Amino acid sequence: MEQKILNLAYLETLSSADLIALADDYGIDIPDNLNRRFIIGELLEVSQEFAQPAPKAAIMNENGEVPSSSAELPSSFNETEISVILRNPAWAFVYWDISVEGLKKISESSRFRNLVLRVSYFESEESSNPVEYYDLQVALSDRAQYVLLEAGRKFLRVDLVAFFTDGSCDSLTISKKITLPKTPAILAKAFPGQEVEVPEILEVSGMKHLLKSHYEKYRQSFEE
Amino acid sequence: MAKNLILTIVGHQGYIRHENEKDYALQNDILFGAISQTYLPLVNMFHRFENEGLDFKLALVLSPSLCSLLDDELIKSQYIRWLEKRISFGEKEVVRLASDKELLKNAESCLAKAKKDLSDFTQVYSQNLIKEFAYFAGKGNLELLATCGTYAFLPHFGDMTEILNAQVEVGLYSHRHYFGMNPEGFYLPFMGYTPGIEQVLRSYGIKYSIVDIRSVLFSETVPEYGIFAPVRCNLDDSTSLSKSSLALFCQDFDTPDDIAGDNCFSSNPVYKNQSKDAAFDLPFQSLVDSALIEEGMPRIPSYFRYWNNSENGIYDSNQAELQAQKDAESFFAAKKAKLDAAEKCMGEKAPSLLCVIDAKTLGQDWAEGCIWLEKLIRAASASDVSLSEPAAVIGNIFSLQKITPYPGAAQGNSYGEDLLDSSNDWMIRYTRKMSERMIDLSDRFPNETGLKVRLLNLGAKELMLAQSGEWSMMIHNGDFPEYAAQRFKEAIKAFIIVFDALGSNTVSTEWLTNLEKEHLIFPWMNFRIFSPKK
Repeated sequence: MEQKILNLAYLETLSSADLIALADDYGIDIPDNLNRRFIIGELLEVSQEFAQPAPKAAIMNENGEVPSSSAELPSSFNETEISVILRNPAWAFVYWDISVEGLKKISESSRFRNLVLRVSYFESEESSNPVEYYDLQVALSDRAQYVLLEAGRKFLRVDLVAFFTDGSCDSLTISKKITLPKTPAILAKAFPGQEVEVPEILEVSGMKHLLKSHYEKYRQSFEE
Repeated sequence: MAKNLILTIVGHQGYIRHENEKDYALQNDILFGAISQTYLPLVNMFHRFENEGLDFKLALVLSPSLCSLLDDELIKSQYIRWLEKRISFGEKEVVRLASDKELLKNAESCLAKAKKDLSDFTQVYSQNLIKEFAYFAGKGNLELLATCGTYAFLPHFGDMTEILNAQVEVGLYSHRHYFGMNPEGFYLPFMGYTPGIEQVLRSYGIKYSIVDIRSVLFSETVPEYGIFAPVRCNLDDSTSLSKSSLALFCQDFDTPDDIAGDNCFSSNPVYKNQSKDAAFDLPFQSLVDSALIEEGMPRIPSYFRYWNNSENGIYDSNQAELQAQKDAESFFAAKKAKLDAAEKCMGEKAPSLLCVIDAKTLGQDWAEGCIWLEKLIRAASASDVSLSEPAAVIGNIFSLQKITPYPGAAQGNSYGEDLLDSSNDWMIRYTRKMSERMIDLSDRFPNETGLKVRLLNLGAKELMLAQSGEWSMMIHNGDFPEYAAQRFKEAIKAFIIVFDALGSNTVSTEWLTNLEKEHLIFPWMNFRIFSPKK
């Protein structure tokens, strides 16, 4: 499509049908019954964008050195952040990184006492107040930890928190809140040595084997 | 009323491709062994059925990395040389074993197989096995399912929609590239279901997927027909996609254990001992003399295997074939019994049972696996059970029961734990960090051209290779763990180099070109697949 600079005076002369057709040419999606002033406004905006000279891309230097193939992976990305991955419904894997500056700040502080993972459970994704939390002490050199999850919880967040001798603390970074799978209702009825009654179609499907194998692998981890 | 048995074969191979045949002979051998033991026998079997007029139906997954390798000219020429070396070795074995009648018979059989493989691959199939699979898909015998670009374990990226999109999109592009058709089904690697993947799959027009038993039986809504009918996912009602839905099949609980579990039938003493290879016993120099290996190379398998699973018992192929027949019949009888029992509970609705079979068990881990499969298909064809393809069983999707699947996988203790344990958990921080960076790069450089696009596309490929679940699996299983770690690190390092090059506006084109030539996978790669959908 040939792009030409549109101006208000010209657009005002066009019929609504022509305006819609023009908008279509410019790839503007126009909902039904849209006011023609809005269409004109959109067209002017897009037209101005087209009129902008394209930013001149910096020319890349193609003669860089061939990177060394022996370099190890970096042990840190010099960022303070923490992530949580659900390993299974009973365990989460937590890993974190601390920036050089952040690490220096806490480790060189005479008031620094310890570093903990604060494991918090929430009732909803929006909630900011945990229904429960506990702390797991970690070493300054640690960068990962498996965390056993409480059954029946809904949302999990893990914070990396530095504690100081004066009782104060500094939350260095917090993870995204992750959704924990709801304990399957059938598991609440499944106890060792107790025959669970299930419809025949589920029995043929392997439900009893599944419950048995589930108990062998996870035991109480999933109980409400 | 028809009862449906859906046999789904899953073929995957990590992207292991090395021009240097000497240093990576053992790693290259994984694919060549798979071609000879699984993929050529499967194609031969399909042609036998065709010649006999036997109308078989199977579902088949061939991962993009496997297809890329099967389509690679370097790999094809290496495979031909690999076969020629085995023929040369076999000719010496026949002479060596001339006085041992029983071993000689097995050596001759292995030699004949290597010669036939060479003839089939080069002359009958013109080095193009993908074309054969596509042919049978076109005829309606095979329903080909797509899978992720690099067989990533999606639950590890469940909170990164862009990564789910990219893995699915590359998988679909690859499927269309190699098979010239759009798939109806999508196989989640390791059957790793993560909430939200149904939205992604539906947005790409996928009709169905397959999950582990837990994902269906542990759903909040009890599935009315258990595992004997597909269900459909509850989708987010706020989207227009809720008008349609993703059907889910649940795999049969017993099948993996039947074939490869602790008391599986593939461990029967009469079957071939796949770990006792002539090349592991002979003097090293004789392997060099027969041109199987070169000085300085490790011992690699010759695939001349003369013994069975019993202690020092000599392999008898006739006895093994008879056992495969018995095992196929008993497997089929067990599945039919399940279908019969389900039929009684299901009233007017026809039951279906989907069995997932790892292609590695068909010839590689279990030498007689393909013979067993052929007997199984013949047994099913002669019964009142229909061998079916998944899409045909779905029928009216709106008639399927809606469930919210439970997270799960057919790996580890059912949640993919093997892919995240103390042996390999160091990897995930890198894959996720680089994934975040790739998403950011695709957003920052949407309209780049020239050298930067080459860099970004290479970065996207390297990231996808790093995301492959293959590496963590190999490390967990102890299958070339150092190699898997090295490959993973190389992919991450390459991505970091790309990232830094874009930041500093400086790159070594020599390095870029070399890596592009080395990793030919996804030549169509467009880094924008990682862009956040706006």
